[in-house]
Amino acid sequence: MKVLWTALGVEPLRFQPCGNPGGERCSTELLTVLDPDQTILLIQGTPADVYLRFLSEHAGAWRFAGVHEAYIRNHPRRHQIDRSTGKPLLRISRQGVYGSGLDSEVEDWFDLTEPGFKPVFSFSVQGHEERYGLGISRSVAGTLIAGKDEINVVIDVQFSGEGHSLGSSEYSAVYRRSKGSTESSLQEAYAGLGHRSKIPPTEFEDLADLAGGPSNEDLIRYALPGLKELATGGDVEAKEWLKQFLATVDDTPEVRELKALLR
Amino acid sequence: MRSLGRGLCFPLGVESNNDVTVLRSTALAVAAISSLAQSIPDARNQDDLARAAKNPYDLARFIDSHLTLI
Repeated sequence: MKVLWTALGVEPLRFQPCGNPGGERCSTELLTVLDPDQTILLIQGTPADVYLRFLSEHAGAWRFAGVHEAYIRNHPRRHQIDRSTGKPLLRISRQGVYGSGLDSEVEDWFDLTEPGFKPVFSFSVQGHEERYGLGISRSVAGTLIAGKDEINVVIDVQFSGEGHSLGSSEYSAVYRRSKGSTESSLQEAYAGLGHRSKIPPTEFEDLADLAGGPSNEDLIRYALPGLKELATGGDVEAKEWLKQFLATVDDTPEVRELKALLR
Repeated sequence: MRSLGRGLCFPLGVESNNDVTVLRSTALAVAAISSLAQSIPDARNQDDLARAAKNPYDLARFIDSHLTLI
C-alpha cells in the first residue's frame, strides 16, 4: 500500500514490512531522543525493519525527517543510541552482502543532530568471504568506536585456505568528516592497533570489503606467516592444496618463497 | 512443500494419505487466505492511516491495531 508513503511524501520502499502473507505480524517501538527532541518509530517487519524519524516542533507538532530501511536476513535485528561523544548517534544493523560463501552484517550510523535521516557512516562489522579451494578465505570482525570528531575502527581478520587456519591479523583505521561533508570517510589506516605502521587506505578498505576484497596475491602477503607454517608442516593434504593454489596465482616474491619451501 | 493441486501444499515430510492431515492443511490454507483478506485496509482505514502518519505515536497505535499492508 502506498497510502503511508504518500502521506509521508517518500517513495514506496523496496520491501513491504507489514502484512506479507507468511510474514510475522509487525510490531512497533518508539525511540525517544532528547536534545534535539525527536521520536523515531521503528516498525519491525518481515523481511525488513523500517525507521521513521520525526522531529518535535512547537505546540506538539511533528516534522517527518526521513525513513531508513534495514533488511534483516542472517543476523538478528539490532539498534542502539550511542551518546558516548555527547551527541546522539543512532546505530542500526542490517544485512550486507550475502550469497554462496558470502555474508556480512553492516552498521549504519545516523547523526541525530542533523536535519535529515541519511547514514553518515556505514561499515561491515562482521562477515566472511569463502573462496573455497580457489583462494584465501577470510572472516572479518570489526569494532567501531565513536570519538569526538572521528570514528576509530579495528578489524580482526582471520585467514584460511581450504579449511586450514592461516592465522589472523588486526588492522585499524580512522574515519573523519571532510570539510563540508556530513559523511565520514577513511583518512588513515594501520597494520596492528598502535597506529605506528601505516598501510595504504585502499588496502584496509579491500580487507574490510566482503563483496570483493584483496587479490589472492595480496592475501598471500597478508597471510604469509600462516602459509609458511603450512608449507613447512607435516599436513600432506594441506601442502598439496597450497601447491595447487600457488600454481594459479601471479609470480610474486611471497609466492616464490612459498614454492621454495614446498620443494 | 508438496503440492496437492488447486494451490494447496503440504509441508515436506507430512503424509498426504491421511484424511486428518488433509483437513488440517485445508483449514490452515483457509486461515491464511482470511488473514490476507483482513490485511487489505478499506478506504476509511486508508484515511485514518494518512492522518496517523502526522504523528509517530498515532502511527504506532495504528500499526499495532491493524494488520495492514504498508
